[in-house]
Amino acid sequence: MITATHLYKKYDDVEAISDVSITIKKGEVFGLIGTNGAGKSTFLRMACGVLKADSGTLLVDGEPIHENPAMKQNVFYISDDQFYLPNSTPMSMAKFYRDYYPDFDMARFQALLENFGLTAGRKINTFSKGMKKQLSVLLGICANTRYLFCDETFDGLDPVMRQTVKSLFAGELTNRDFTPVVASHNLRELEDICDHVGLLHRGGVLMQKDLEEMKLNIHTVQCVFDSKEAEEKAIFSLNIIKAEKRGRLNILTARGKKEEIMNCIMSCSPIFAEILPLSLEEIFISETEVVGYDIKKLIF
Amino acid sequence: MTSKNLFFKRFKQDVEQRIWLPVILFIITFLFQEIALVSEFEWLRSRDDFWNRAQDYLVNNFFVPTSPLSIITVTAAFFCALTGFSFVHSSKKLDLYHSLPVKREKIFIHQYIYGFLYYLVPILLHLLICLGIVTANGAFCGKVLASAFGMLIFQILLFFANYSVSVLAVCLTGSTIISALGTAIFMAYTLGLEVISVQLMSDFFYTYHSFGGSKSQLFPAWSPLHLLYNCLSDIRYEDGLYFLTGVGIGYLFKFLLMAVVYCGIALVVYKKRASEASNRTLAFRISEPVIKAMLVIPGTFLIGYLFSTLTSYGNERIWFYFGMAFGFVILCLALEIIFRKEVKALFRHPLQILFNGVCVTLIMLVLQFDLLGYDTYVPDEDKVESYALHLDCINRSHGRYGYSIEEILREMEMTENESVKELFRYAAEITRPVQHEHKMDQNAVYNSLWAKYQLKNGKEVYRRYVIDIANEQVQYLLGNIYDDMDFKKGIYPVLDEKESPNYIGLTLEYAFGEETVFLQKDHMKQFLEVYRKELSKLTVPEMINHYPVARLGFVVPYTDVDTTNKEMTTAEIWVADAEWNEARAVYGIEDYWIESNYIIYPTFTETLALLESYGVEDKNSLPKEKLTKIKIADHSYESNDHDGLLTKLVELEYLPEDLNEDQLAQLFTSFVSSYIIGDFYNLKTEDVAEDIYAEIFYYNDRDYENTQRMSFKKDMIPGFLEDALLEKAIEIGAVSQ
Repeated sequence: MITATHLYKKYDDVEAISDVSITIKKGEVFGLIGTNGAGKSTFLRMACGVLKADSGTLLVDGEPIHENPAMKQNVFYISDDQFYLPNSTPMSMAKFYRDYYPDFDMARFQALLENFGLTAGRKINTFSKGMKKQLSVLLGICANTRYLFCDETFDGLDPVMRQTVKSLFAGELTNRDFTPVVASHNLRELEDICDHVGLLHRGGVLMQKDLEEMKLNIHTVQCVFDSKEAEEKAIFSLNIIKAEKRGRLNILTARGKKEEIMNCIMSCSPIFAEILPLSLEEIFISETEVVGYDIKKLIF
Repeated sequence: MTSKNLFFKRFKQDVEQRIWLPVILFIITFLFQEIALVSEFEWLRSRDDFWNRAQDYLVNNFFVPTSPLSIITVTAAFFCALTGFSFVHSSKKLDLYHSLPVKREKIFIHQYIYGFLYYLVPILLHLLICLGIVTANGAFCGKVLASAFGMLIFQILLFFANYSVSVLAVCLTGSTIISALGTAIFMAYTLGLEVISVQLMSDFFYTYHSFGGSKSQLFPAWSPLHLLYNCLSDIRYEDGLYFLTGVGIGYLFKFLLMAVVYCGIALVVYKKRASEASNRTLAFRISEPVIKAMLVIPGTFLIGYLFSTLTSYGNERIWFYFGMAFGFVILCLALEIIFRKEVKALFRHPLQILFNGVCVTLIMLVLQFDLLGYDTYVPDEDKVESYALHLDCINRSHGRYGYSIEEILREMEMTENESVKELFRYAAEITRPVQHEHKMDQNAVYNSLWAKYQLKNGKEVYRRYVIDIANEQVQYLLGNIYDDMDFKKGIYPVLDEKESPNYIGLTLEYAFGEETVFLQKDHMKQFLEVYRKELSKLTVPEMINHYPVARLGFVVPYTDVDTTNKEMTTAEIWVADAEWNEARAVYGIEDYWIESNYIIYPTFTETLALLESYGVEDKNSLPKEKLTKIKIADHSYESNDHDGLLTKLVELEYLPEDLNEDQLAQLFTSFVSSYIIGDFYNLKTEDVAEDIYAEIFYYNDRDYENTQRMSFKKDMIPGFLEDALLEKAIEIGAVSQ
């Protein structure tokens, strides 16, 4: 388990992480979602021991990770721009990592290379960006560490490769003690794989929830009321996150269970009411709009 | 647990990336050393005495710290450090290395050792090849091997010291260029401070004595190049085995200590360095004001000094101040651009600028007005263990030819002489007013006086004063000092019976010839007793009132010669080579040197009597048959007018037949040889007639024509000559009738 408590990290005058407390349980796939500059990469770097927090604690399996080689053996970090040794090949990088991670499964690595269509003896500096990402994931998986930190790793993969990697993750989760932490902007992809998400914004944690639970507790309702009073009553009675009106059609995003929300709406005698499922992206946008991060302002 | 033998596995990976480094190092070393060695041997083979010449070359010119190998070593140290530790400048690389399950110390130690191995292997190969070349040429021996070994140890420690400093610079900075700058600064910082401060003190403090390029005075040698500089200045070439001497071993330990200390600091810096610092110019922001101060303050003075050298028309000080102001602004701007990459950042640190400006101003005030009293400083008597002094008017070559001032002062220890203390106090009072404020006495005769205070705490304080030796009180004090045997032993090595070498002969130089006398042991002992006695009794008034008779030197063989039973012979040096060689053959002298520049005064009656008994001829005059002509020149009628020098040179020429014996005797009695001068000679300047000189043309003892220039004793110019000169002056219109 990874436990971060009141983490704080500052780069010169910029607060990268501010009072972040996150718990990542063993065996769950944790998605770290955040806006640009939210602190995702900083968090991952602290979690793998590259950076040291200015204050707060970050424990991996109960021990601090910074300058702790024994604990770092359980962690493999794939950065968003992974460095490979000059003139290295996939095999030489595998040997490199094997020196540090004794559980590195060389045979499996070679097999996976073949499956992914990567040539073991080809210079990595001739690989495309996507191929390098693939290679980094294979190296990470074959290192057989308990924790795998992926910083925007999925972004460079084509859809087929993404699915393949997700399958790999699924297999690892089934077969051994494996906890991947994936930082990404690509919410649609995370939705398929993550079962727990943490939402970072401007260095702080907006929320940390089980994905299903998050989906269960935010709903969007399309409804039409026959009177303004009914409309207002409905809005007042719900824990509204966002309210939109198109003519007489009200689109309300509210917190609460589906049944609770529907009961509230029905009690106001709507002409029409329908629950709409929310994607992770919609939940993300809704939650961040609440704190003033209006995506429309960025786009338009 | 990480894989066992991680060191060797990482080394294998590292070699794949940095193999070019030792290869290039080997090639460069090969070109500058092996090729040079082979070429030298080819030349030596064409000369006589190959073996000795080869030994001398190898021990004193090849396996030496001053060889090009030292430059290669320092350069290699920088590149090994940069290539080994530049990963700290890349956030990408740091993400990899610092995420790996290995402690930072291990990474540091591995990289440190790898860099050393990239240097060691080519250097060892180089040494083996050189020794192979030496052996193939038949020049190998134990001494050569010892020199080579000593040189290897020196180069390795020199490498370590520079390597550690370079690693520190790389770890403190954020890019290759800044690392290079930082390395250059760290390597030579204290040396640079020394150079700047020596120059400033020489310019502003009138009693400051610069040691002319020898070891440091003001700043400890905390930079590798500074230590190297001191090492090269200090070690003596004693049979080439520099690093087997006490001084040499001391320096090896200093290099080792420097390497260890800087390596330790670099390790701490690396450990403490934040990974996110890879994008910054300096890894530690807190070091920025410190580094700025360390660069701006001395740099301002350096630029000021450079500006002052642009002129030599008396405006140096103004140019200096202008250069300082200019340099201060430029340095502040440049550093801001380097550190922050923008000029506007300059205005965000007004306190920093103010602090640096105040420091520069304070130092300037201290220098300009001697606020700390450097020029007038005289240590308390109870803190001084001994004194030493040297004057311009003392011939420093009494057996110490080539000695520096500080070496001469080291030979003297005066403890009880009150006149020394009083003289130094007087000198400290007047030097600055005379030099700085130009408060000169028109009748004064100023001389430089070097003073050394040996303090009880082991420190040595040196000053260079100015004293007026025409001042009666000063002459009195000088007289007392000169009468002190501690002083005399300091300037006349012959008086130190315990330290005197094995003298086997005397050389005597007169105005018109020289003589050499070889003496048996007993005769030499007798001569020394007499000369020492009379030299010990010599006083300053005697020297002022008398002109020397001859210059005396002692012949010292390089290898000991037993003259116990040798027949005494006399030979005239440079006269008959056959006789001189015969004399050398008789005495078995292979090579010798002369402890020279002692003086014999007319008051040394017993010494002169002994010399006469040896058959030594007084050659301060010439017989007529040796004389060719005498030319007299009188420049006293020269004057300047608006068009330049108006020469009315009065010249006379006498042939031998033009002068009778009495006139000749008068002339030779009035001559003063500028060649044979004693100590305190400037006290006698008033005794010499200005503007009148004689040139004597004669045949020397080898029958070669020779010329000697002489001055005249004042008021002793022969009457006939004065008349003749006046007559000539009238004749040419230099003076009216």
